Amino acid sequence: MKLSEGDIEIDFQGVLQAEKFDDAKHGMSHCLKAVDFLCDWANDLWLVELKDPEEVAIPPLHKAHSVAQFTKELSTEAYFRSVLAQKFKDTILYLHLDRRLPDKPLKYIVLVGLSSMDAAMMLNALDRLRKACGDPKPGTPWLRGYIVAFLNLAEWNKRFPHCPAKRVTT
Amino acid sequence: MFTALKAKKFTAFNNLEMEFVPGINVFVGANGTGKTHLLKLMYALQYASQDKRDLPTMGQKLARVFRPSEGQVNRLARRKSGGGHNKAEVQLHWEKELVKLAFGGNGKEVAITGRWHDVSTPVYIPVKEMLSMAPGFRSIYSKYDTQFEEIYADIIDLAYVPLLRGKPDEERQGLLEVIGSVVAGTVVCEGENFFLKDGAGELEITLVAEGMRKLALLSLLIRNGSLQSGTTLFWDEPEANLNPSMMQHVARILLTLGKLGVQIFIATHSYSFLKELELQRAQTLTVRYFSLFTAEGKEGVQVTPADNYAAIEPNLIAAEYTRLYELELNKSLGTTK
Repeated sequence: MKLSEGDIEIDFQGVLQAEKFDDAKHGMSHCLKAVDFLCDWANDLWLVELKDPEEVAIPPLHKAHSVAQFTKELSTEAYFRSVLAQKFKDTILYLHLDRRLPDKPLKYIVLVGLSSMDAAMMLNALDRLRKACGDPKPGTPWLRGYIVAFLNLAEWNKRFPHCPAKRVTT
Repeated sequence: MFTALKAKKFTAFNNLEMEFVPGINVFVGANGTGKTHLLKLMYALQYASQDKRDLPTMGQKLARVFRPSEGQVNRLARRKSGGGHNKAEVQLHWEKELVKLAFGGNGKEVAITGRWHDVSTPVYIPVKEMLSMAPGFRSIYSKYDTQFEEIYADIIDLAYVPLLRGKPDEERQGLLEVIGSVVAGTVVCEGENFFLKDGAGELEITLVAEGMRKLALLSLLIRNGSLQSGTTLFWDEPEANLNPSMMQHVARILLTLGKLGVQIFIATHSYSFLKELELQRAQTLTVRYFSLFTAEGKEGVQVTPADNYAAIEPNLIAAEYTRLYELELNKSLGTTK
């Protein structure tokens, strides 16, 4: 099943169900944030957030600004706490109240289309995302945990060859 | 200024060719790829070429800077696999003037052809901080036969040079203010001792954080004219003893020195320093990176030049971050097949 956001398309091959879960669809955008995609696999549930400041549709004149703006946002703790982690937590709350949260391991994956992010920056972003999301470790009182990952397109394709992500330039 | 270097059978190098830029030249590479050897080679030859009396010859200066066993410069020639030393050849261009050195093999002599004119006193800042060790060091160095590399004595000599008369020009003043705000004071010399002076009084340099002492040294070298237009700065690992958050200041200071006309040679292992340099550099100042590496099937250390950070190849520093990032992801997502 193929889903796209901007000009990035992901082919979730073999997924039980994959859906776009944007603000318009869940109808609670006045109080809850939402991740972009929900992917229900046989063995786990993925919550996928896609950030693409290099989207082809952005006019060239505005692209540098878009990239600079996103890079600036990424440098703040607030972005990880109030945007990325908030989307994750609100989505879990929504699914729970909607009785749609399956008893499967949860993965929150942020996919970023920013070619200038090198491994040092990705590593830093991963650490900060983990911190903002709570990063439950063994010994926490919760019975189920979750894992978070911060990936670019290349790393996504390396990790998940069964659901290739690509930029669809139109 | 230095414009090009060719080195055959010199220490780690089999056949090396480099073309330098007038601004900042940065050497990166694993430990043991000869970064410091290159800095020392150029420094020693420039030092011995100044228009001054009582200077050592190039061969003597090489021996004092590298400290090969028994002062034998031929030991700097690359070793043959079956024992003994090859014949080394170094060609170093100072603009259009070429100096050639040949040494090694069975002989102990250093053959020199050509000479440079109008060469300034070079500045070499070693990895170890020396300002705090300055009192008494010169007398010990001149009296006793020690194994201290002469770069240590030389930098102390330069630190003791009296300050220039008059007010520094606007750009140097701006630079001194940047350093002053980072080290929180001005360095003063009383007798043989250095102090950091601020509104509250004077603090012995030995009580100042080690990383800060090198920045304090830089301000002295700017104030006494050792670093000004037409001079050369060699700085081995400017990141040593400094928190990565200080690299923004180091990069800014070096870029300003480059703009003032100081040719700079750096050896570094610091990601923060390289990124800062790249992010802060203006297109008007030339910066060139040299990646030094060994490759299977090729003898000696190889080099690839790059004119921006992204083009550095191979880039061991970036590769290390990739390795760590992969390990972190493996922790979350499991290993890739």
